[in-house]
Amino acid sequence: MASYHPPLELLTAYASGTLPLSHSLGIAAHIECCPKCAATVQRLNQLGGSLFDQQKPSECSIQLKETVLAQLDEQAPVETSEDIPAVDVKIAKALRQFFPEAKDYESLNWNRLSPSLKMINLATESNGTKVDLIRIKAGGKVASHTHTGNEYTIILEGSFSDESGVYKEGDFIARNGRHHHRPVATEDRPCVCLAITEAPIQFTGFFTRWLNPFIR
Amino acid sequence: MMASLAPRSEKMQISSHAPERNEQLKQLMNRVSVDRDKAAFESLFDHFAPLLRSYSLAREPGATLLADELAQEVMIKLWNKSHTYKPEVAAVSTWVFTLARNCRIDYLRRNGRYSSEIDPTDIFNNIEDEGPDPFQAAQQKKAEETVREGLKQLPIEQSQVLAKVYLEGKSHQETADELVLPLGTVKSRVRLALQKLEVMLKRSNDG
Repeated sequence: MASYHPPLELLTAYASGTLPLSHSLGIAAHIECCPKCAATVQRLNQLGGSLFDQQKPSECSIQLKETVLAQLDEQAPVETSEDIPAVDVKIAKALRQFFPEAKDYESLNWNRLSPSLKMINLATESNGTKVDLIRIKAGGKVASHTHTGNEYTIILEGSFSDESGVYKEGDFIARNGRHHHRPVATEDRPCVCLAITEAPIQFTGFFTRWLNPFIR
Repeated sequence: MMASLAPRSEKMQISSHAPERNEQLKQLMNRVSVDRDKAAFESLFDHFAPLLRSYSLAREPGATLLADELAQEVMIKLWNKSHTYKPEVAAVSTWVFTLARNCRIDYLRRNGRYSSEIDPTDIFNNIEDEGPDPFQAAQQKKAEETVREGLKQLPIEQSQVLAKVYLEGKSHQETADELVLPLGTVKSRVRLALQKLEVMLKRSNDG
């Protein structure tokens, strides 16, 4: 079970739909293997439901209702069979959209960055936030680096350690811009992580409101 | 099918008393998903469509067309996805809220506010549909009660912040800017409110 969790404000932003999708992807990957945060999100949703329910209703036109009712018959019959249960797929559900055919991380089309480091870029937000899949080989070291923006790392498989501790599957690690670290994967197996890296830019203008909540 | 012939006079009067209303809404959802009952759908429409419009208007005041679109889209989703609703996991309002929220995210994505490379369906649906374990499911009703009753007791400055985040879709920073408060104050108000509503599970509940 995960021992490092996202801060509550990230979970709140996730549940209320105000978190950028790049970050939401990381929260989703974490709660898949963290029942505690999954339950917290469920309660945050309940809170959303209660707030939603207590709104002052805004009256609806008859036409809108007739339009919707008229559309019901056009709807395709309900699919009762859910998606094929992918029992042998070892990729986090939140990430399967990027690799619909793959069964595990090992078989992906990795880009080699160094003898111990491979990477796949999954997405880049228009504000520059990058979402990458990173694979550190067993016992592999990553060159010492400092992040200029915030970085969130979610361990999908294996484990790594750095100056601040040992991190295992499911852990959600938040690092601010000034943090300096040198991760080393454990010897027994490769470590696969999801990394969300905010752009090393000045947080001004339109995107400020998305980035600033994460600056302490 | 009998259900599709059901006259409109069978429409249910929805209670104003919350626990009773929750049960009624669950029954209506069941009639929609099992019997494809249009009268039941109409009752759900009468209850939820005005709330959905308010939700949309909270973020985009004055945008009535957008509000109608959101209400329409979510109500059609409710009809099509009713079989995925799990009454033991969440109140109908909670489920409809998540549909509306996902709809809003999709709208923001289409308009370039969020990354278009990431499909939100996989981020929100897959996970939430699984629901909590049986122990948590048993606590679900109690938790819902706590949240609903707790909301009424919250100091206005805390409920105001929650409404900004959840209904108006504001980030903590935007909320701070609007209320002319330091960011830290907004964060601590949210945190205090969540503590009072017992949203954070205590360690002892980990099982």
